[in-house]
Amino acid sequence: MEIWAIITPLIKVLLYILSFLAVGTGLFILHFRSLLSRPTFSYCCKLVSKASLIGSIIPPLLLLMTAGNIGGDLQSAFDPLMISIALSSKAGQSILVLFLGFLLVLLWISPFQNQRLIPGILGFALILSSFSLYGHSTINGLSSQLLIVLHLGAISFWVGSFLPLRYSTQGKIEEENLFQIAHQFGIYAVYYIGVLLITGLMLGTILVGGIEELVTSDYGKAFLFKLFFATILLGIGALNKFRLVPKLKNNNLSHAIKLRKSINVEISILFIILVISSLLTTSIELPLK
Amino acid sequence: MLKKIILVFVLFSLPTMALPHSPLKLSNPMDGASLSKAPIQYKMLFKSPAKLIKFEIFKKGKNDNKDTSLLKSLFKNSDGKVIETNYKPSLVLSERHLIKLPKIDFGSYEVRWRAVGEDGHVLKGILTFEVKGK
Repeated sequence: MEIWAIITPLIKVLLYILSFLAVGTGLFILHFRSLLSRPTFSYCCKLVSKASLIGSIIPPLLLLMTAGNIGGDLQSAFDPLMISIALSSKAGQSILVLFLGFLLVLLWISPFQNQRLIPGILGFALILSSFSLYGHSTINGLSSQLLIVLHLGAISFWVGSFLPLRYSTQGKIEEENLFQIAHQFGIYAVYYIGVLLITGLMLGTILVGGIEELVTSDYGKAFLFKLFFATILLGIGALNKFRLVPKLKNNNLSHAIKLRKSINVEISILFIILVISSLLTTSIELPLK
Repeated sequence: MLKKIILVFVLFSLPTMALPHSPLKLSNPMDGASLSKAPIQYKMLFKSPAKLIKFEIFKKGKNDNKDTSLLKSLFKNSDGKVIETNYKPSLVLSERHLIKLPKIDFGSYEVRWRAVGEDGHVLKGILTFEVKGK
């Protein structure tokens, strides 16, 4: 086993998390700005800021890692020829776009910019589209690339909302607004998850190829595994929306604690999904060959 | 409890991370071939266009790679003796790559190659052949 076989999926998981936080929590701010208390708003801004700051440090490292992976040894990571090959590859282009995206989000969230929308939206778009520029998502051209961007955009909102929602359940930070936020989140989530499911199934069909490949290929099995955890996550989300959130109306702290615990479970399951997704895009062979 | 489950999951996932891509349609000499005459070139035909970045040949000894530990395998390519090929990375996407080989003796050889595919993925593989003589 090569060192890259371990590092690449791990870095990919980290990048997913940072991207989902930068884009998703950014979208959360845009959707809920008027409902959020000052502490929650400030927490969200810090989250986006930290994610995009770390996110903008990762791409240069990722470039060295890509060069190392292309050359196959650690020296290649610092070999100018391998770095230039990495830069000229689709992976390199994707890294540059990702870097620019994180910088724009950082610019958008920095207090000096007073929340101007354009750098933020452009940054979100660049971060999301960077994942569609190389790898399996290019298999069907523009259609699969667009599906990836929409799919990741929907996941981002969902994932990026977990931490702000979890923060809002602490103590009496949001008071009666907690119900409003959670209720409104449930409404947005229906649309976002709709996009997530439709694009996910379409991508699955394109990448896996057919029912037979779904059960016989490694890629198909990993895809099913991911779908299994995603279904659990959706189930928990649905339970929260229909059972837990309505109870928040009474402003009862115990329900807020239950919601927080439920979000903790969702975050853990999500982590498993991200690991599988990372393996699907870095290490597992597509059945269509 | 959940943290433990996640940790176990990640640890069990690691061995599966080495699942290889197999992008070669054909190679000549073929993988595992036993030849009577030493080849003067190596032909690789990919399923889709790729840039062949690295092409290395190692002459294998009897005990090479026999007790390779996981840690060693993470940082070291092969135990064999490197055969100098002067291969320069190909920056052109092509399905067909032809590599001139130096004069080689009888023995077992291992070819380690790396390429970048059209989609940007790193492709790699190990092929072996043996020159036995008549």
